[in-house]
Order: sequence, then structure tokens, then C-alpha cells
Amino acid sequence: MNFRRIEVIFLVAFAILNAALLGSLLWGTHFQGASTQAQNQRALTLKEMRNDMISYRPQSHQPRNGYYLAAKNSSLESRASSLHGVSTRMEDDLLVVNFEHPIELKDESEIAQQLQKVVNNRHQVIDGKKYSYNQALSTKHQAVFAQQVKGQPFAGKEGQIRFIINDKNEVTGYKQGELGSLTILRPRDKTVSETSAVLWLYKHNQIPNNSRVGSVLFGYSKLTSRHGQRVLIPTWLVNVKSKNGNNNAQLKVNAFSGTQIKE
Amino acid sequence: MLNRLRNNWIGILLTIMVVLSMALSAIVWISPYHFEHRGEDGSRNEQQTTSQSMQDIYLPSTIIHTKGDGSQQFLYDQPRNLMLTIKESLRNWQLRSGRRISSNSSGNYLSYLRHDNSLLLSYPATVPLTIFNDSFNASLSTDRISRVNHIVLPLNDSHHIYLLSDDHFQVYRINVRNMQIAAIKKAMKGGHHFSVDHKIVNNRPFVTYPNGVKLPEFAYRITTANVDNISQSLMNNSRKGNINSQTEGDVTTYSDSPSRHLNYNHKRGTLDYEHYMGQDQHYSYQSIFGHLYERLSKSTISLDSLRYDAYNSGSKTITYRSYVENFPVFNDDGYGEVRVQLSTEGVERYHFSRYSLQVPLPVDKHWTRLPSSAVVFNELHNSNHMKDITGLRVGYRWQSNQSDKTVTLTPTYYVHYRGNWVDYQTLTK
Repeated sequence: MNFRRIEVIFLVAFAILNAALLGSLLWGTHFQGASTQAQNQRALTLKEMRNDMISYRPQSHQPRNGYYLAAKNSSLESRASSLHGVSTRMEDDLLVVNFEHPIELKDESEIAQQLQKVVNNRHQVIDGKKYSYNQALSTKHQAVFAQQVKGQPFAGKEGQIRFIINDKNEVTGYKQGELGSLTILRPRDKTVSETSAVLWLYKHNQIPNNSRVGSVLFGYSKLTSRHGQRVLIPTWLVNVKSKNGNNNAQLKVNAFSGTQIKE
Repeated sequence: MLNRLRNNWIGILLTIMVVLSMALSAIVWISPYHFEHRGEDGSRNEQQTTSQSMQDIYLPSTIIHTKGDGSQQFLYDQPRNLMLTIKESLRNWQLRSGRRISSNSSGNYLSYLRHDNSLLLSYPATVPLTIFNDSFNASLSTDRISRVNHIVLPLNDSHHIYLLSDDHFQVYRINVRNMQIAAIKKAMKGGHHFSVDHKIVNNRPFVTYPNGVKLPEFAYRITTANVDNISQSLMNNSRKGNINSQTEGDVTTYSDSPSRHLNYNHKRGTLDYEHYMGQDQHYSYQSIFGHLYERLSKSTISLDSLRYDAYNSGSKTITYRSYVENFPVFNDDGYGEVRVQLSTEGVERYHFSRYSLQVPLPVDKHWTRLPSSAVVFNELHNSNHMKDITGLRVGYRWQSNQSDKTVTLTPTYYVHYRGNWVDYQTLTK
């Protein structure tokens, strides 16, 4: 074996060694024990769900930002006189409005646009600009416009306009709840991720076998009230449908504690 | 020349490769990442679902802004959450090696506590460097720096931060790469503040309140833990469902073996847990903080709103305390406080209560005015207590409203008097 060949062998060996060293320097820091452990745990639970015939496509493992908020009451009753062509009454804190002439819905695909026009009309709806249509909260018989809280929809009748759609595809009126001015009770904080909210529900037997986890929405909902103010918290709204029937459930998870809110 | 190069190119390339591999090996050896993998603190929980992760429970509790003119302001209630924003930012910076630039000089030390145009983050009590590393995703070597009391973030220097240790007034300058301060500056907006001033009194740094303080009340809904659940979570690992209980007077004792018992005081709602581990448990100063947190997080004791508050190196006890905003919460019955001990004789002890602060509630904004610290010191002097005082801080008093499971938190000064934090008014009456 000549000297030149030995040199070449050494050259190749050192090149491999350098590549390995460089690799460990550049990528070595990303192998973190505990986070992979958490990932494995999550993957395992997701597999269990599949075995129970539950379809769920996780969207995000990232935490979100949320606030504890307080909402003052708002007096819809005193402002109801500004509406025209309707009859109104109060039902608890909700304003119940009936149109003198029911609105006929033309096309199912255009319900949102058609009702948006109604909501924007200040003679038909008070403060309509605060609400926007939410498809995930709406059903065949109910179109829901939710008030926006810190850029997220409010998930409760206290801050929504709900149009009831009858069998003739008409809207005869709506129920409105309005949250008054908001104050931040505590500064921003991190919430649990969408996946951990869904997995909590599964682990606590809230998602039946043979069902489908549909939309998972991040919004706000009411936790409690005090001194005439409502305390709002960030919430994961999980829609669960059974695969064979028409059972449809909206489950709420407190996004700070990661546990279910029962109503 | 060119010819010789052409003939010998393999040799030259080989030399370059050898030199390169030596250089890379050296970097791998010296690289701080190396220490991270050894995991000296033995706990690295990125995605814990408990409400308080280890990173959060050991965060600094106060943020003081020193302006360009040297005046200092205590910041709280910033809507974007300044401490959280600082943590998120710092975790993305690359902290390089540190160098001690000052020690044993209280004057120098004070000048760093009052560094112009900076944010001063202070821990309520000394923490080991591993705790700083864990919270801020850093990997500084404990060989050089062992303890941290304060972090100084200069707002107009994008290459350095300073770590301060009250022990011998040590100041370390840390080189930082990728230091981005914009998000932090934005998060300083809004919220409230009041003036403070740092002084060195009796060889220890002291925050004084020259103009007094005006602070709001807070309210919380409390949760009450189920004692059966607690006893099971603390004792379930060996003999399932075999926990005996015995009641004598106000105290029920749960026990699953002679070495382990939990005393529950019905009247006060407090619990004491004792476990004789039967062998010497030794954890270094750098690792015991992580260990005790791990133990606590595995129990069902609520960590909501808890933060690290003190460490006693003699008895190896960590005190965690409820915090509201950046203020500690105190209660005569010890509510909102969790003490965890691992004695050198191998006995593990927890002291805590059934109650914890959970959901913040709206209050009709009621503000309380506290006098300046000079007035407080004067009153303590007059009542002849001043010589026993070793600390002063603004805190909140937990007052239970039995009727509706809520607590009202009202601000007052707490003084460190003969080893305990007490409301200054109880000493000046």
C-alpha cells in the first residue's frame, strides 16, 4: 500500500468525522428529553382514540394567549325603542325580537350574507356591528352571530344574536344578548393547546366511541358572575358528532385550567 | 510553487481536515449545550399541563424600571404581561459565557441595581443558577456563577445583560446574541406603577418606597381541595386503598404505614404530611429546587397562582406562596402558602392548606393608600421593633369571606420580623 492511498483513507475518515461533529453541533441541541416524552404520550392517546373509532384531526399543539375579563351588563331593554317593524320583549337578560314580516331565506349558501344585512341594519338590530356570523356555532335551524371578545367569538347566549330558522325556511325573529364594556381582570396568560383540551375530554370519557370531533373553536365564555359583572375566560369549544346518528354536542373546556366547564 | 501544490494536494487537504476536526472537537467539548444534556437539574418539562410549570413557578417576582434620569418605578398589571413577555423573549436569546466584573463592593452593586435605562427583575429570594437556566432556556455554567438574585436588562444595550448575586455583591456580565428588546418595550406600556428606590442597608439591598404607594384591592374565588383525594395522591404508590384514618379532637390522621402520615386540621383547614424515606437524601443546592418542585407537582396540591418565595438552606425547605400580580399574599392561618422540606435525615414534609386562589373576580375599584417607607420605619423605631426588622415588602392580606367562598386581598406593608413576614401594623399598634 503506498503512502498516497493511506493519505486518501485518512482524508475520507477525517471528512466523515468532521461531518459528524458539525452535525452534532448544529442539531444536537434540539433533542430535548421531556418534550419528546410529552409528544409520545400525546401520540399514544391519539392512537387510543382511533382505536375507539373516534376521528379527530389535531390542528394545533401550541398554547394560545388569553385573559380573565370582566364584562359589565348592557341595557338592551332601554334601547329597544330604536327598532322598527318589530315587537320586543325581555326574557331574563335577553332581548327577544319578532319581525312583523318574517324574512324568507332564499338560498342556503347565502344565509350568512342575507342575515348579515339584517344585523347591520340599525333599525332591525341594536349594535349589530359588534357581532359576526359564526358557522361553527350555527346549525340548520339556528344562525348564530357572536360578539367579538379580544378578537375571538363569544360562546354563549349572553353575547350572541341567534336567529331561529323554521321549517318553511323563514326567520321570524331573534334573541339577542349583549356584553357591556370589558375590563381586563388579569394580564395575558398562556392557555392549554387545542389538542390537550380535546385529549382531556377523551380521557374523562366525554367523547363517546364511534364519533367525530368536528370543529374546535377558540373563544370566550362566561365562568361566573359577581357584583352584576360577568367573568369571562378563554374557552376551547369542541364539537362532537356521533357517526351514525344526529347527536351533536358542544363541549366547553376552560382554556386556562384545561378542564371541562359544565353548564 | 503551483506544481508543488498540485502534487501534494492530498496532504494539504488532510492537514486542513485534521485542524478542522480538532477545532470542532474543542467546540463540542467547551460548548455550553454539553452541560444542558447532562441535565444537572434533572427536570425539563416543556409541555406540562399543570397550571404552573417549573419555569413559571420560579420566575422573578418584581420588575423595576430605572429611567434615564435614574428614577425607579415598580411596574405591575401591564395587560400584555411584562414578566411573561420577558420570559418569552429571553428564551429566544443566546446567552454566552459570563464574566464577573465586580464583587465585594456595595457601591458598585447599587449602581447596577439602579442601572440607567434598564429593567431590574428580582427574585423574592436567592435561586441557584440552574433555575435561571431552566426558566430562560439558557445553559450558563454553574462553575462560574452559582446564585442569582437579580437580572438587569439594559434597554439600550443589545449585547449584554447582568446577573447579580447579593452574596458578596457579585455582578456578572453575560454576552447575549440575538437580543431583541422590542416586544419587551411594547409590553411595558399600560398598567400601573409607583416610585421605589434601592438602598443598601446593613449590607443588604433594600427597596424603599419614598412616596408611599396606592394600590387596588383584588378578589378571588377560592377552591377547596378534597382531603381524601389529597391523602390518596400522597400515599397511593405502594398499598392501594389501604389508608387508615383516625380522628382525635380537631385533627384527623391518615396513614398507610408507620413511615408515612398526613395530619388534617379540620378547624383551620391545614394539612401536614410527613414521610420518613429511611435513607439519606442528598441533593445539591443546584438540584434541590428542581427536585422539590417535581415532588410537589406529582401531588394533587393545587399550584394555581403559586410562586417560589423563599428557601431555607439549613432545614432545606422551600416556601411557595400565592402571588397576585407581582405581590405576595399572606394569611394568618397560612393559606396560600405551601412549604416543602427534604431534611438531611431523609424526612419529607409538606405543609399546606385546602384552600387556593383560583378565579379572579371583579371588584368595585377600591384603592388603598400606604404611607412612605420612611414613615413606616419611624413608627417601627418608636415601638422599638426596628432592630429586629430585616426586610420590607408590599404584600396583600388574604381575608376570607366565609359566606360566598371568595377572598378579598388588601394591600399593606409586610416586614420581616424575627424570621416571619408580619403586617407592619401589628407591630406599630
